[in-house]
Amino acid sequence: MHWHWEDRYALEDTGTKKRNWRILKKLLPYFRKYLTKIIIASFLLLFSTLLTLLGPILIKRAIDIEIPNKSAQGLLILAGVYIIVQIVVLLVRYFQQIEIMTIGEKAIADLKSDIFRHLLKLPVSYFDKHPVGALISRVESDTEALKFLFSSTAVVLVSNLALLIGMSVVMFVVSWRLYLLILVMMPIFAYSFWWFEKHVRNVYVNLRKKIAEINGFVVETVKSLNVVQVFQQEDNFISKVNKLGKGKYDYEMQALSFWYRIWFFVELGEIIGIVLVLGLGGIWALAGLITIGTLYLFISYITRLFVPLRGISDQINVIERAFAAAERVFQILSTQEEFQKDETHVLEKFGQAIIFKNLSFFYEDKNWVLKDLNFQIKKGERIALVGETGGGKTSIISLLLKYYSPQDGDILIDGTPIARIDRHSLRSRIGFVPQDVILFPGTILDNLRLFDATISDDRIHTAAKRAKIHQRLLELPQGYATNIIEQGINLSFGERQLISYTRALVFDPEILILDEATSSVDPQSERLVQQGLKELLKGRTAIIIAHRLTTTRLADRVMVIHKGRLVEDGNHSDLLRERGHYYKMYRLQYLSGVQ
Amino acid sequence: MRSVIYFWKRHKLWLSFLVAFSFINTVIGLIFPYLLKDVIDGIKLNFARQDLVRFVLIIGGIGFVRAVFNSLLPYSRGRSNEMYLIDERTNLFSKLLRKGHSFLGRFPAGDILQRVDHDLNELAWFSCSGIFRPIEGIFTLVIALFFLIRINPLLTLISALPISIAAVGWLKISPVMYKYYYAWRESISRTNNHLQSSFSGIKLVKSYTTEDKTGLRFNDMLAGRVGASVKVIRLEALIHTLFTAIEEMGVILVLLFGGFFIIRGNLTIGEFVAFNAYIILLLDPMLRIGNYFVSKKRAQVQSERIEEIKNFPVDVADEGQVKEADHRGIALENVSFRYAREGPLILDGINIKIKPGQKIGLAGTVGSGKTTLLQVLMRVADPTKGRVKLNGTDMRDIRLSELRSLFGYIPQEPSLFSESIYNNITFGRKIDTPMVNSAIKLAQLEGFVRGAPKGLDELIGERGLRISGGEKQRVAIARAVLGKPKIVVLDDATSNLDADTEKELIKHLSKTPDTTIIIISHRLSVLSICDFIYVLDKGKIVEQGTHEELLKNQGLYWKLYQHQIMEEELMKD
Repeated sequence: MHWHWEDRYALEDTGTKKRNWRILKKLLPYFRKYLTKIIIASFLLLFSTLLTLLGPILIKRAIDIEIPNKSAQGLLILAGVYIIVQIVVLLVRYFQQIEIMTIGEKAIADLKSDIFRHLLKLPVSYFDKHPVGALISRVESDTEALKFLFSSTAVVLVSNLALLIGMSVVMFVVSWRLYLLILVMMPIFAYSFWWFEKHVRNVYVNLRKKIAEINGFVVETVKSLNVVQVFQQEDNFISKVNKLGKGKYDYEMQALSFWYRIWFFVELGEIIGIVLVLGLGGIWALAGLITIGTLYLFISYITRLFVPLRGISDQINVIERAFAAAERVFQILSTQEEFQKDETHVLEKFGQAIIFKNLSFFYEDKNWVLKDLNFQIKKGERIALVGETGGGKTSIISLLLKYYSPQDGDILIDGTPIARIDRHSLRSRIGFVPQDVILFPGTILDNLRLFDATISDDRIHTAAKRAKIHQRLLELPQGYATNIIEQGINLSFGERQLISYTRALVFDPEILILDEATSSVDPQSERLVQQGLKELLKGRTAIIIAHRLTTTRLADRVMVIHKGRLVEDGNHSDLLRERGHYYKMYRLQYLSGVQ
Repeated sequence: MRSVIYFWKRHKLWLSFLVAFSFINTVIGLIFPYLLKDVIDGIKLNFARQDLVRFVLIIGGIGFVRAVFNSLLPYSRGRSNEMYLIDERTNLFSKLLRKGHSFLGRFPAGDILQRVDHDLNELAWFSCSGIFRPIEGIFTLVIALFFLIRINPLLTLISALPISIAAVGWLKISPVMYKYYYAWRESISRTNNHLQSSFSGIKLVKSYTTEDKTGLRFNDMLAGRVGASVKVIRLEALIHTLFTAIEEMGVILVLLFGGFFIIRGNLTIGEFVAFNAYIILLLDPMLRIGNYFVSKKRAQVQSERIEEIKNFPVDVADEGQVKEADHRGIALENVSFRYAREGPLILDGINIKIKPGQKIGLAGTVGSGKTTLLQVLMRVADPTKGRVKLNGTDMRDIRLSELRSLFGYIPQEPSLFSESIYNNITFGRKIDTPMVNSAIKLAQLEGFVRGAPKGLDELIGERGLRISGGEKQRVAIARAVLGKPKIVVLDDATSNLDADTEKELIKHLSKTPDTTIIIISHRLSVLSICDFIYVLDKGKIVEQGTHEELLKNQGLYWKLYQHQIMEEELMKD
C-alpha cells in the first residue's frame, strides 16, 4: 500500500514542472497588455530595493569617517543624504506597489471575464455536469489564487533576488575577505530549501485531504442528525470527529516540524554568519585590515540576508496552490464551445410550422428520453404539453431551443432542419420562460431588459402594464430602479412569476416557450398569474409545459407525452371524451383537488 | 471568546510556560545588540584577541539558543492553535449532535460547515498566535526600551518619539481602512451573485441570446470591483509607506543625534551601533499591538458565530430520570405540534394508542404530518401541546438513552455515511457477525454484498462504490433491524424498491410477533398487512381502521387508494 502512494507522488512531481511552464505560458497574454508598465514597475522595484542597501553604507561612513573626524557638518550631510534616499525609496515603493497590485487586479479581472464569457458559450450539457458552486469557485477563488502569484509571490521573489545580489556586490566590494566567509554557507542553504520544498508539499497534499474528510463528515452528519440521535451514536460520532481531528493534527504537526527545521536552519545560518564576521572580522579589525564601519555593515546586511530567505520559503505553499488553481481555470478555457458547424441558415422570421420528425433523444448511456416523436405545430397554435415528470416534456423544449441535439430524426422549422439554423437567430425568435424565476443582481429595469440598453423604458413600462405588475413595481422603494437582490426586497411568488412574464413581453417573441411553475399559490395571485399568461399568449405561437387544468384549457391542442412518446394529441374536450390517458390525468388532478 | 478563555484556564501550565518562553525568547533576542556594543567598543579600544574570541563565543552560544527558541516558539504556538482547534471542534460537534429540527430549520448545512471549518480555524489561530503576537510585542517594546534607556535616556527620548506617532496614526487610519474593505467585500459579493444567477439561469441567458450582454454586465461589475480594490491597495500602500517612513525617521535621528553625542563624547561607537539595532525593532511591536485590535474584532465576530450554534436551544432535553427499557404500550394524548412559534399546526390533537407487537400504518397526503408524528413518537421532537407516554410515563421523564434504544429507525433518505458497508450497518455498535448476517438476510442485501468487489468492506458514498437508491434503503433497513429493536419505524423507507420486493420485505419484517412496527408508505397496498391504520389530513386524524374497513368507508383513504391505482395505471404503458 505504501509504495503505491509514493509512486503517485513521484509521478505528480515530474508532471508538475512541465505543467507549471505550460500554465505560465497561457497566463502571459493577460499581462502582455501591461508589459511597459510591468517593466517600469519592475525597474522601480529593483531600483528601490537596491537603494535600501544605501542605509548601512551611509552609517558605515559615519562610523568610519565623520565621527572620528568629529565633523558635525559631515554628519548633517550624511543625514541629509539619508533622508533624501529614504524619501526617494518610499515614493518609488509607494507608486510601484500601487502599480503592480493594480495591474494584478486588472489582469485577473480580464481573466475572470474571459472565463465567464467562455462559460456562457459552453453547451447546456456542461452545466448539467458541473454544479454552480464549483463553477463560481473557478471564476472567483481560483483566479484570486493566481493574482497572489503575480502581485505577491513574483514581487517577493524579484525583490528578494535583487536584495541578495545587491548585498553580495556591496559586501564583495567593501570586503571580499568577509564576503567569502558568507559565500561558503550558500550551497548549504540552497540544499536545505530544496529539501524543504520537496517534503512540505506532500504534507500539504495530505493535509488538504484530511480537511476535506473532516468537512465531508460534518456535512454528512448534519444531514443525518435524526438517524444519529435515534441510534444513539452521538458519543461514537464525537470520538470519530475527534479522531479525524487528530489525524489532521498529525499532518499539521508534521508540516510545522518541517517549518520548525527550516526556521531553525535560517536562524542558525544567521548566527553562524554573525559569529564568523565578528570573530574573524574582529581579528582583522584589530589587525587594521578592515574598519569598524565595515563590521557594522556586514552585521546589518547579514540580518537582512535572512529575511528574503524566509520570504521565499513562505511562498512555497502559495505557489503550489496557485498552479493547481490555474490548471482548473485553463481547463475551462480549452473546453469546446457550443456546436456551431453548418449553421448557415439565418431564421429571419417564423413563417409556417415546426415539425418534429422521427425524433429520438437521450442525454447519456442510450437511456432514451424521447423515442420516435412525430408532430407538427402550426404558426399561431398554442400547445400544452402534459404528462408525468420525467416523461420528456422538458427535453422537447430543450431540443427546440437547441440546448441539445437529437441523436436521431430532426426538427424542421419552416422546412429547414434545426441543425442548419443559426442558433442565435433561432433563439431570437423564441421567448423562454423557465420554471424558476431567475433574477440578476441589478435594478428591475436591468432584469426586465436583461442588460440590453437599447430597449427603452417605455417599452418596459408598457409590458409591465400588460402583465399588471406596473403598479406594484412603482411602489417599490426606488420604483423600477430598485435593486431586488441587494436591497433584500421580498417579492411574492406570484409577483416574481409576473416579472418573468413581463420579461418575455418586453422581448415580444414570435414563439413562446413556457415551463409553468408547479408550486401553487393563493387563489388571488393564481388568478393574476393566469391573467398575465393570457396576455402573454396573445398573437403568439406557444408551447407550454402545463401543470394546471386552467392552462390546458387556454391551449388549442393538448399533447400528452408519456415515457418519451406522444400518446394523445387533440383539444381538451376531445381528449376528455376519448377517456384515455388525459382523462385519467384529469381525474387524478380532480381527486387531488378534492383532498 | 469564552471558549478561548476556557481553553487557557484548562491549560494554565502550558499558558505560563508559553508566557515565560516568550519572555525569555524576547530577552535573548534583545541581548544581542547589547553584546555587539561591547565587542565593537572592545575592538575600538584594541582589547586582547582572547577577549574578542571569548565575546564572540558567548554571542555564538546565545545565538544558538536563540535559534532553537526562535523556531520552537512558533512551533509551540502552532501546536497550541491546533490543540485548541481539536478541543473546540469536538466540543462544537458534540453540541451540534444534540440539536433538533428548529436548529436545522435555522442553519443550512453550508452555513454550519462555514462555521465549523472557516470560523473555527480563524478563531484557533487567534486563540494562541493572535494573542501571543501582541504579548511578544509588548515584551519587545519594554525590554528594548529598557536597554535603550540604559545606554542613553536622552537619545531614547529623541529617537523613539516618531514611533509613538505610529500608534496614534494606526488608530486614526483603521476605521477608514474598514470602510474601504467593506466596500470591496460588497463588490465581490455582487460579482458572485451575478455568477450565481447566470449559471443557474444559463438556459434563460441562452434563450434570450443575451450571452454577450450578460458578459458585458459582468465586465462592468468587475470594473467597479477593480475600482474598489484599487482604493484598498492605495490605502494599504500609503499605510505601508508612512510606517516605514516613521521607522526610518528613528534611524535618521539616531544617526544624527547619536553622531553628535559621540563627537561630544557622550556615546561610544558600540552604543551607537546597538542603538541603531534597537530602534528598528520598535516599530514591529507597535504594529503587532495595533493589529491585535483588528484581529480581536474579527475573532469576536467568529466566536459569536460559533457560540450562536453552540447556544442554540436543543429541542429535546435529556432530563428524564425514569428507567424504562421495555415497550408495554405507547400513547399519544392530544398531541399538537408546530415547528415555529407562529407557524402552522403540523399535528393537531392527535390521539393514538400502540400496543406491543402491533403493526401500525400511517397514511395521508404529502405534508399531512406523518413524518412529524414519527419524530414526536421517537422523541426526536417534543410535542408543543399534549403528551406522549411510554408504559404510562411521559416520555420527557424517561432517560433519553433508554427510550431511544427501543427504536429501530429507517428514514426516508437512507442517510448513509462514507464508510464501508459493514460500518454502515453496525453503525458504531459492537455486534457479532451472525447477527450482522441475519440482518443482511432480512434486508435482502446478500446478493448485493456478494456482488461488491470487497464484500462488506466495500466503501460506499462519495468516494466509494456507487449504489442505487434501493440498495441504500436496504442497507438502512439492515442497520435498523440489527439491534433487534422492540419498535421498528419505517418512514416511507422502501420507496425505491419495486412493489413486490417492498411487500415481501415488510412481510418478512412483521414475522417477528413481539416487534412493533410503525409504517409510512406511499404505496397504500403495503399497509394492508397492518393491524390498524391512521389517516392524517392537515395534522388531524380523520379516519382510522384496518385497510379493508377504510376502503369500505370510501373516505379519504379510499380516495388516496384510487388515486394511487390510477397513478400506477398511468405509469404503465
